Amino acid sequence: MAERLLADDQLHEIEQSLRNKLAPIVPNDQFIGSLRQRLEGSTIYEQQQRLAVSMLSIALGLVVGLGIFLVGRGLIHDTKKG
Amino acid sequence: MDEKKAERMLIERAKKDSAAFGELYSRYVDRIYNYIYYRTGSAGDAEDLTGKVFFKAMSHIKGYKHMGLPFSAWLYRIAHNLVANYHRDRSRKKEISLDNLPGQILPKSDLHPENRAVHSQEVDALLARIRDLAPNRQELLILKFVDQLSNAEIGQIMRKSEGAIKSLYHRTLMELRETMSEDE
Repeated sequence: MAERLLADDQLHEIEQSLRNKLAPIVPNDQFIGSLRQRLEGSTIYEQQQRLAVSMLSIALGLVVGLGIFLVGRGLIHDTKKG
Repeated sequence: MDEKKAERMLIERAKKDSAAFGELYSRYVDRIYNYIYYRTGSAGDAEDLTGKVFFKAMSHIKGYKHMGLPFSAWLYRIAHNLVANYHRDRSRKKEISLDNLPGQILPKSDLHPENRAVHSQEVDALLARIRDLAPNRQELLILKFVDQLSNAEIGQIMRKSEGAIKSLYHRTLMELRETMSEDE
């Protein structure tokens, strides 16, 4: 029982030590400000939009190409039958 | 307006508007920086990795969906993965150094200069012991004592139940007690 109490006391001491010694760090103001500027000035969103438009155009082109191919093949097939 | 609802609206705006993302950044940068600083032990590396966290978040925020977890949990996950990569790349233990910090530890009030030096040595010793712990135990202590999160919040970030966090915390204290008693 006494040992258990001693162990609990030791854990409590360690906890107090952690509470007292682990403190938040205040980052450098210049770093915080410049990173925010870089993020807000970033062109990530525009690049993603351009990529999305490109992918959509390619997909659309493929679909239209496939459509033309199938229609053309159908016409040729009909011509041969006739 | 409910704070959580306001943040969800900010996140939706941040998916298209970099200025809105800047607001999100301001809310969480200190916490993410602290987390990374204590995991890496280097202020310079903490700045570098913090930048990477937020650029990565910006690149992927369009795919972010609210699943009942706080937005910070997503950011911490990105930070956790980048820190894991950092350690894997360096593949050596870093000594925690409190020298040459561009930032500053929030000062303890009323410390005599001699006591301040002793305090700093004690902090170094404690941090060295913490650095010997498994990564998940280090993470737990940083989130609890530096970022001052509750067990429930820590559980959401570490994807464990609150009970599992309490149990892990207890085991972590026991391990620290053992290593500290070996030093004596």
